[in-house]
Amino acid sequence: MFSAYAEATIIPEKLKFKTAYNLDFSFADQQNYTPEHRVGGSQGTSVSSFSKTYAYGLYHILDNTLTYSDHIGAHSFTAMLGQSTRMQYNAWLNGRRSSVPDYDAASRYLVNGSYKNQESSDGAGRYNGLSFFARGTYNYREKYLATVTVRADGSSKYQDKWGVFPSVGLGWNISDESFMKGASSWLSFLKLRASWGMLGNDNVPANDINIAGRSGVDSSALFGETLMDGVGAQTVYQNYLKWEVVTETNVGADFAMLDSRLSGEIDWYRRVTDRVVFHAPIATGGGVASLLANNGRVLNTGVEFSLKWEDKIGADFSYNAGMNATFNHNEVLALEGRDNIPGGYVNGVSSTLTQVGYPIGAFWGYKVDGIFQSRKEALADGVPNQKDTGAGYFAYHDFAGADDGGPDGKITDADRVYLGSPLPWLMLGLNLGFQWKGLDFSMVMNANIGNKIFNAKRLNKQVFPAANYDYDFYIHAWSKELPSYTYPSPAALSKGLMAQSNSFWIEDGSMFRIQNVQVGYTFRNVFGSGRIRVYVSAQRPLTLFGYNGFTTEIGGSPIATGIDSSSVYPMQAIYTAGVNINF
Amino acid sequence: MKTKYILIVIALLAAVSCQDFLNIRTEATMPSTGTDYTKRENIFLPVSAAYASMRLGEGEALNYVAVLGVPSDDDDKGSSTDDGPAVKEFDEFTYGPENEHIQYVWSIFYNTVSAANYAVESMAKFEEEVSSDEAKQEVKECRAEARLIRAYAYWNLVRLFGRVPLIDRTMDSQELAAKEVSSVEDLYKFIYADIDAGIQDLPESYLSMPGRYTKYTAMALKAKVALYNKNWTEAAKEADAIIASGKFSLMPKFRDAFSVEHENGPESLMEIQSSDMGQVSGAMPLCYYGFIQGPRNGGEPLQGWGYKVPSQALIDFFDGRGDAIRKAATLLERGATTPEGDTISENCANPYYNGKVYVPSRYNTRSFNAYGLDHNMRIIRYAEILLIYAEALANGAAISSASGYTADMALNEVRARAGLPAVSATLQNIYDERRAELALEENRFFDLVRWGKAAEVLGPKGFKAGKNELFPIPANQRQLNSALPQNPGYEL
Repeated sequence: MFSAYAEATIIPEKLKFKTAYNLDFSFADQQNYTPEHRVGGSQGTSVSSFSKTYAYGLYHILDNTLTYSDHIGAHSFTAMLGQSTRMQYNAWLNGRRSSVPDYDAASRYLVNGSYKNQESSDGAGRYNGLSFFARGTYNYREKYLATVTVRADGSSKYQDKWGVFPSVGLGWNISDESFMKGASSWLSFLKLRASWGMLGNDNVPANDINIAGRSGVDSSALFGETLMDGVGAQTVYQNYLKWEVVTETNVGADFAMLDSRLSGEIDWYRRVTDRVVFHAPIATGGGVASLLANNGRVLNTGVEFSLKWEDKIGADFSYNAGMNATFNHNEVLALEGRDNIPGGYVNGVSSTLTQVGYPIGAFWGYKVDGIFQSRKEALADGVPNQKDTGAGYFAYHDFAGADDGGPDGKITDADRVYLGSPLPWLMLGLNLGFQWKGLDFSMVMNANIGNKIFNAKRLNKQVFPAANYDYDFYIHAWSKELPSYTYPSPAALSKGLMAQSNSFWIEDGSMFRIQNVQVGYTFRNVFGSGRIRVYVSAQRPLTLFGYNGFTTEIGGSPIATGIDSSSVYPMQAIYTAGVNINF
Repeated sequence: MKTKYILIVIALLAAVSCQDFLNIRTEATMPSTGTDYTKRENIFLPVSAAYASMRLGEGEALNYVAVLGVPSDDDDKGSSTDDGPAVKEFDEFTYGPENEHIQYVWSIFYNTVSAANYAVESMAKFEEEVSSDEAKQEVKECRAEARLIRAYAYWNLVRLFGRVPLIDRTMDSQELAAKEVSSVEDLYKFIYADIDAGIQDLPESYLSMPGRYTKYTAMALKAKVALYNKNWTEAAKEADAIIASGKFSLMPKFRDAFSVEHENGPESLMEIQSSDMGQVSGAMPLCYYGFIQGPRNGGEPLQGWGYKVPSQALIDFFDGRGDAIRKAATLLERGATTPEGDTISENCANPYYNGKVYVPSRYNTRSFNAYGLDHNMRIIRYAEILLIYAEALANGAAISSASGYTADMALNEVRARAGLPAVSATLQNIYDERRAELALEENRFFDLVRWGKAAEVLGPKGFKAGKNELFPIPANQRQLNSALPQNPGYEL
């Protein structure tokens, strides 16, 4: 990381020019040695292999701004013109050989390996961005505030290179008004705010699918033992991508009360993301499974507030407590050129549908009414084509499918219903702290409420029948001896229709976590003015959730998030003890 | 003040070339639109990629054998009892539109269609740009080659699914999302037209490029497509021309028709090539068709996933007719030692594996997933050409034969190699011969369907007439293209 800036004053106190340069440089050296080994089955290798990767990244940001500030009486204002250039480049080079002797670090070089079995590859990514912007601010006695901004942003990631994004913000420090004097005994500060603005987002994957031909072995014909050079196209078209634009309206207030012991903020927001960019699956025939596209319009709206209490008791004891909460509602408002976008394929079947009127990436599947206790009961159910029918199997609810829209006595795609959103409707944060003489304590907690998780690792049984069950499933699973009315039998998991998205696999993903706890003691005036602080801290010492998995934090793509396949690892807790010494 | 001017200059510089600054091509790629279409050496590049698209990756090979092989009475799921329950559905005819292997098989062939379309479209550009007559001739040949590959993909799609969308050029995602299916007749017309281009424009052979598709490959594919389309005269005509050419013959030993040494040999008309090129690791032109059927728990270097194994019905069939030579080569038996000196481990999960993909240890040089990667997938052998000829004639194909072969001669040439006495070319004898000769080569299920015998033979496995002749249109594709109708019996 390197940064530098230069400032030139053109008209003293009024006109200023500033240029700032920022360079982020990263370098990675990765080595991977796989010895000869045998695990069992088909896992193992009789030849060792060694690979090395060198990678570096450069990110330059150059900002130039020209700022004019002035005032006429109590009216002060600034006008700014600016320009920003961003250039990012990441490259890597990888080499691999087999049979590299592993005596010591000095022997682990590719040149020592087998010349017959070697590969090399490299790759890179590049991003360029360019912006021009103008901003005006107005301020009357710190009481009335206004900001107007217009940006023109250009990005190499989009085919429609340029977007123009205006925004306005207004503020009113109402507590400074004379008519509020009467409240000053208890209200220290109150500011009302309102803003509206558009913002372009180019923090999306570059649109690189097949602007490019592909060469290499996978595009090369083989005749006998001769490999012929080839260039194929993964697909030969791409979408013409336009800027993803977020339009946000925000109304809020900042306040402080009771001698500023209690302070807080409250905001109502409405964010509409237009031309939202993500990979969406396409019908096969184009040679790829999905394509980056401007897919539609998504709404996020809600209320966000935070409160903070800070006080002292006596001379030595001070404490604080704070909380923040965000209530969010997510909804797809429009999709471009299609009714829905399936996603989150598990065992070949989509588990999410992104559809107008529902949250993005919402879970869809069958609703489980119960568990059939016998084959006879299953057959008598009146839904005769539940083809995987038997004791211990799910009884799915027949919602629709008939011409009149009612139940048709069959379980079909029409019976897949909305099963919840992977997004929480409430996010909470809490923090506590106190200081008493040399002793300090702090604790940060957070919680997510209402998000759903698709426990897809339970369905992996279909692919890997020897895989483990989780304990909850193990003890509750249906069996002849211990029948269950909610859990299926393990045997049912191997059937196609059972091992699909349904309400049993969708679990509540709400969680509460102590993010960090820290206790410290500071010794002052050690050896003169020195200070020594001794502390112990715990990161993520406690996480509570009811979900039957290792963690509720499961990533994904916008249309397929919260799907817990078997490759999700638990979060670790970190305990630290330390000493800070200052002289 | 001097600094100020320098800085303003920097700011201006940044602004000057902003259009070029934002128009950057993806790093580490070749421009697909930037191919130099004037250069003769570039002509084959997209066709090469179309060939490459035919090779089956690890998962693709499993999907392929699961859907095209396992449903027949000669093939069982194999592997271990619990593994691959979605493959087992093909043994029991319980698969539905959501079966993942059906979904992926659809993609395998459409990916080949896409690669071939790209090659065909590229040829139009080369045609305009190249100047020499030799180059123009090569463009013509390469276009025909790409069309032949496309025909192979569509023929598989039509025999699996019946009506499918006909994608004959690059289409954007919106067009694909609404593409209607074409009728089976129109699809066959399209396939014939693509193959006919190959018959007309491809050379009879390529020097030093064994396995490259020729005029005879096109004729062989046409014979096979016509057989499935019950177009007896066409089938007989093409088979007759191949026989009459005198360029092809049966390997004297049945076993050699499947050996690594005799790949692209005199019996070969169409193969999908695979080789690890003697390398232990690294990206190689691999087709996993052999690997996926290799002995499960066999231990390196004789170890695969063990899918699609010979059924007891097939073994009984061989035994019942005293078909010992072909039985020995078709079955790879647990605990037995091969003529090449490999002993198949007693630890293997199944008593028998597919002997036609057997690759001796000495070829299995790759360190991991070694087995069978030097095995070329046989699509059409000369033995099948003889049987197509016999079957077409027996069904009344009226041609004036250039080869002078009768149906009996063709049939008995195949039998003689198997050490069996001559019989007359009745339909039943031809059907049985096809079963014995082509066992485990992904023909049997489709043969039973076109003979109208599927319900009788496969009924006990769960086959339902009026439904299982075709596979369901994959659920995920119907979700992405609402214009796709479901095949009868799979509407749920």
